[in-house]
Amino acid sequence: MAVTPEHFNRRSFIYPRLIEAGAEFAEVIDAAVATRYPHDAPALGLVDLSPLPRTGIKGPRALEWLAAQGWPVPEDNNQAAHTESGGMVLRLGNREAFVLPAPRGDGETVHTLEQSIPGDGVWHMPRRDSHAWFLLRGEAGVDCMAKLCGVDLREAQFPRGAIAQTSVARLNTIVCRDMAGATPGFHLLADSASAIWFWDALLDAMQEFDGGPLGIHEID
Amino acid sequence: MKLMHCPLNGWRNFGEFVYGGEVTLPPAHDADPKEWADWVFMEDNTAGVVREWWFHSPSSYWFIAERDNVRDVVLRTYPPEEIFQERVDFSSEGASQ
Repeated sequence: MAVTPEHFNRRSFIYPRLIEAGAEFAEVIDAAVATRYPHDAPALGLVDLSPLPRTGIKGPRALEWLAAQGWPVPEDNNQAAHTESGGMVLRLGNREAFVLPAPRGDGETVHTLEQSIPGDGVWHMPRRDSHAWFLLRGEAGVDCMAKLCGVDLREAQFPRGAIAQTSVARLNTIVCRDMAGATPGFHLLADSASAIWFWDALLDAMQEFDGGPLGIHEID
Repeated sequence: MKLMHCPLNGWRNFGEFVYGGEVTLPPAHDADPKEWADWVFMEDNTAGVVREWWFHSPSSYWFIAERDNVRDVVLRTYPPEEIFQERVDFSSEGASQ
């Protein structure tokens, strides 16, 4: 039987849109993730990673504690560091970090991290329900983002691992440049309550670049 | 486009910021209630260079700006730690009630 989002209590914030687009789904941990669509993968693709685990920590000792657990913590604010498995630690300030697993796995690592947060000067910031997580993947991503965001995201100014906490399509968003396989991409984390609107706004902006939704199995 | 420099995030459009009121030091925790009411509710409303709280909404970051409100020019922005370096302890107030 085909996997659908309705089989799970946890669903992407935009799952009706994914079904409308004809997505095929696969079970990842405790939710259905869109793996491919009934069309050729577009050069500029928007991937919904919202069902995947992610977490955050905050507090005066948060970064020090995270480093002591063996996670890579960037030296500067608004920088991301990669884990060995392809996940990322986003340093958002002197006292705050956002942890993303690799798009294709290691959600358990994030779960283990969440369970071990001590609470004293290191507090858990649950991020799985608060933020939608999209990946805009493709060479034209930077031109597309220029339509929606006032920050210069070109590679010379905004290299891999750079983070901008800014406004995208008038929605407060964390933007992080990364590579999706061999292709540049931007991770976009924004208010989950506005996720459908954000998804639609991004796809609308992507139209002129022949963009469209992309499944996680279509990331190279 | 009008820009302001956020100490955490750099230059950003003004639309990303929210004004948070004048920066004034609070009275002692056992000060006269009138003094507290004055601090909480009344603005100095100075014309000239003022020190203000500003909030960068996408990163939930509070900082301080020195702004000439006659010319509407932001002169300097900096983290609140430059002024507020100690946590205010209200525990003795609770004990006296």
